Amino acid sequence: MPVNAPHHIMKRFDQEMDDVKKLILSMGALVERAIENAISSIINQDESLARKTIERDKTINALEVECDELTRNIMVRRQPAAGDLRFIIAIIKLVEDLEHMGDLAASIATTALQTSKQPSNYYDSIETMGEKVVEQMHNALDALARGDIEMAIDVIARDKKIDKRHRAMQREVLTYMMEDPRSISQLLNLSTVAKQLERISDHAVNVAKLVIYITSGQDVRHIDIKAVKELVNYNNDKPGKDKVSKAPLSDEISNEESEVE
Amino acid sequence: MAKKTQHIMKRFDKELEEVKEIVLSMGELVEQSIKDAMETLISPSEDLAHKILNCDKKIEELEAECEELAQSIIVRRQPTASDLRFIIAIIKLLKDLEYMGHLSASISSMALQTVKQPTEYYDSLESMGEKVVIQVHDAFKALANSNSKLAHKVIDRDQKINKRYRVIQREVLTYMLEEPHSISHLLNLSNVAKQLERIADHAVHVSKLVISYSE
Repeated sequence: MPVNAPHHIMKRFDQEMDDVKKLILSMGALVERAIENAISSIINQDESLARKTIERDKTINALEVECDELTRNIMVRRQPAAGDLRFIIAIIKLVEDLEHMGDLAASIATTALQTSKQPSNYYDSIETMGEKVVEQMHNALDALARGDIEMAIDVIARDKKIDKRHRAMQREVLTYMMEDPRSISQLLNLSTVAKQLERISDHAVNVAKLVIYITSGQDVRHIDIKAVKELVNYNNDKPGKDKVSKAPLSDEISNEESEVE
Repeated sequence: MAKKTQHIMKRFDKELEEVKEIVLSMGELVEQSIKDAMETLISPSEDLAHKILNCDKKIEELEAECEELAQSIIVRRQPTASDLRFIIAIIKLLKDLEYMGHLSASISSMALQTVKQPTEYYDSLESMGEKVVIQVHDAFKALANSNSKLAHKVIDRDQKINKRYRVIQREVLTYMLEEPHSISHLLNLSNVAKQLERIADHAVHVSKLVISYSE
């Protein structure tokens, strides 16, 4: 067997993991754009943008299928263990969060087609919330790309504010409904949009939690933000334990390789 | 050697069965939760609300247990083909179960906040609730028996649930216009309908996952 053979095989595994990373990040980018466009189509009453957004959801769904196939193949042919397996399992879940976010964006865009912009202060609130949610999404994806735990923790911490804002918006919409019952139908639609934005933000938090899982092996799904911080710092101080670092996705994988027997 | 392999296979099958059992008990908890939540609508009860919250916690615990088992199976058994598809589907649908649990808890907390008003609307909600429980029940029945036919049925029936949901929302709108002072309560009820519709969506997702490994 040529001396280079093992090296070559490892390289192909690397390639495959790289392909998965690229795929998930491009899916993330598409979803981020879909959310931005969906919000814009509502605020600006842009029917053409709304239709494009709905149409483009098909591409996002297709990427999910492709990603599932890739991860399945890797599991069968490479039988990953430890950090690599953690990563693959995280991707399997991540892809679902992204696909849901895409669906929510398409749903918001559909609402844009069903409503005609009537003067309402509520649009301002939607726009502001939209900006915060897009920022969360962007940061979560950034954290994923760079293996940035601090950024991930930040996304999780900020979710409280988004929830607060959403509750305030629910109270706000109630007052508008009572002021002008003729606007109720329209406002119900917009209130649904606000809820969908809040759900998108929840998914961004899921992405952030998966980033923490990938980079530190800690499952932080059901614990509060304080505990998350403690957990991550604690592991950093433990002697002999893997140092949690800001490892970008590509470097993380090559670090793991050296640990594999 | 053959006997040892057989023995290993049996243990492997047992482990897969164990995973399935956990998921099915989670499914039962979710089903009961939805029924309890709908019950809180008819007769608001703090006890029932607590029961649902505890159920939600239990579902989270089982989720963690199941996931650990699934991962351990992946590492030790290196499943392939349909076994792998099954394990992957399980990992994905654990999330759906978690959401369904949360949605039930959400319904019951909204139910506690409302005062029972338009009776006809409650009838509509009750009826929708019953349909959604059937969807959840059948989705997990399909999982239990790897029954893709039943899974397809659940997916097809979702159209009716969506239709019913839209009718309910129009109904709410008329009540809101008739009685603007009740808008706050009616919004809560409208949200209950939304949560039910989302639970139904998750049942559809579970069914699609069943199809992914059983076809």
